[in-house]
Amino acid sequence: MVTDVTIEAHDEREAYCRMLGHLVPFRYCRRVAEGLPCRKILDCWFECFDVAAFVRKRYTPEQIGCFLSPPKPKMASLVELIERAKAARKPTDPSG
Amino acid sequence: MNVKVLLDEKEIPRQWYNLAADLPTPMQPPLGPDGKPVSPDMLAPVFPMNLIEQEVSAERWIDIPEEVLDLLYRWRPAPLHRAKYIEEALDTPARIYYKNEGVSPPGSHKPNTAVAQAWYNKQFGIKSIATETGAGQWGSALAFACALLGLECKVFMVRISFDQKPFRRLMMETWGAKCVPSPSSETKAGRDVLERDPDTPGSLGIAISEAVEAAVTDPSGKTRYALGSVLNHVLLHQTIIGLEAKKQLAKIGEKKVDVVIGCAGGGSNFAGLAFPFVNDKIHGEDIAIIPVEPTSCPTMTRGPYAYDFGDTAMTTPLLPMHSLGHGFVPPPIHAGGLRYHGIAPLVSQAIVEGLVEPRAYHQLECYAAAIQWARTEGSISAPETSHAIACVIEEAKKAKEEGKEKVILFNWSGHGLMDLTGYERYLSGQLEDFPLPEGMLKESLAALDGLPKPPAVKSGKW
Repeated sequence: MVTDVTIEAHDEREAYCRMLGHLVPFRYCRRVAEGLPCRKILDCWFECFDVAAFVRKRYTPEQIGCFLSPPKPKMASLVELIERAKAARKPTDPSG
Repeated sequence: MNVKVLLDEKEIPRQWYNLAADLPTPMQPPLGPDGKPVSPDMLAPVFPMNLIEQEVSAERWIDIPEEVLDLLYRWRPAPLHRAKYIEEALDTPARIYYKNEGVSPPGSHKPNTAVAQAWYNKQFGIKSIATETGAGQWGSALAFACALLGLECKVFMVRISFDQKPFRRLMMETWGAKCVPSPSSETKAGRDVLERDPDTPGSLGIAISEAVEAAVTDPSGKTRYALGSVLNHVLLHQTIIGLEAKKQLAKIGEKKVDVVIGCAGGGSNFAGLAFPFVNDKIHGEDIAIIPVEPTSCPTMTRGPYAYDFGDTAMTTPLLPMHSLGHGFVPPPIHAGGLRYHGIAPLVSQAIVEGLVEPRAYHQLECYAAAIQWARTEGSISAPETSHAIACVIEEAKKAKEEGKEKVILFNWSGHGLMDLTGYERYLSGQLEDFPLPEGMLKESLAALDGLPKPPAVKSGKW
């Protein structure tokens, strides 16, 4: 039985990632969102081990609230990315 | 009995169906990050105007250009199969039909929209399309479509997927696409991530940022972005699946469909088959329409929620755990509250209306279903497709118990020949099955009592 001695305790387990479309190790799922877990971590892993207990033990309520928050609607996130990309254009770009 | 129902090319549907024209409660306009409606010119850097027009259209029927049909003829009309072999195995009075979307060259339903998007881009004068992909199903569909039209295609493939799925990457490259592991040094978004974490395995979010940036910052202005699900125009293109199915069922004398099933991730697979039947339901037909997905954590599938899944514009954060006065983590969310954020708004609204009723199935049940399918019908299914098959089997068994000759239709959205490691794990008994402690469920449900539920915008008819 694996016990949660360290945060890496479950890193070698694998499950199907419904976002990517293939098997991934747990170490990917617990760090993918800028070091925080994927928002689907409970959905994808609860059949494999007590992931809720793992999350409860390893993350603060604020962190949990952050990574379990729903994503922005697609349109809103696209518009945001467009604005960010425009800002990434070089200042001398004539089409800016 | 014919196992396959074929349509001649001249019988192919010549219009796509737009559910937005018929939803009882009109869709709210999409909102930008500032909370104001998104205007077409805000999307112009990434989409050609002809696709933006489709995105916001309220027209019920939109003509499919002849040139797009010509592209689709390579594999469409797709066959409708009678699943008589699994019917016999289940000893069910139900008649099970499925659309075989695995016949497309990339092996899934994704090219139905990829070729349309590529064509509209080319019409607009675009020379190159950028996109993101994980395992490569969408990326390969777009690469295929761009190859047919002589467009350049750049695919930002999530690093971990780039390393793990070389065959899909090779498919893309065979079709002429340039496949770049993301994050890459080709964009500022990628460089910023690499600077913080050079060994990052990447994410879809980063890959999307890179693809959008590649489109927006192309100095020639001839690059745009394409995506494989969620947005209205993508679902629109997929309705050719359901429209063909209706013609095929009519051809063999099936007057009514009782159950329509499709797997729902971003929503395009489900919507493609189901939306033409949702229209029938809106107009009085008695049809059970079921989007299926992998199980969600049951602690998150009951009770009221902090925000409504139908209100896809809400960005209200979750109720902080401590405000529940409870030590349990995480705050339980209703089935729709979390799970359906990220799904297409049109599908979300259909769920809110009660027109479609989502279900979820455990992974072991899905693999068992897929194995039974493979050993009767013959084909090896994609993991997502296996969820639909699990639902089909459940409905077929129900029909047997009820003694009813139900007509069940589902979307066999693609093969699993690139996903055999999952089958290997199942067959070798490696798939884990952790039983959720009952006490945890009871605790989380008790914590929800009395929480306010935001109102859903719906007609209330279903």
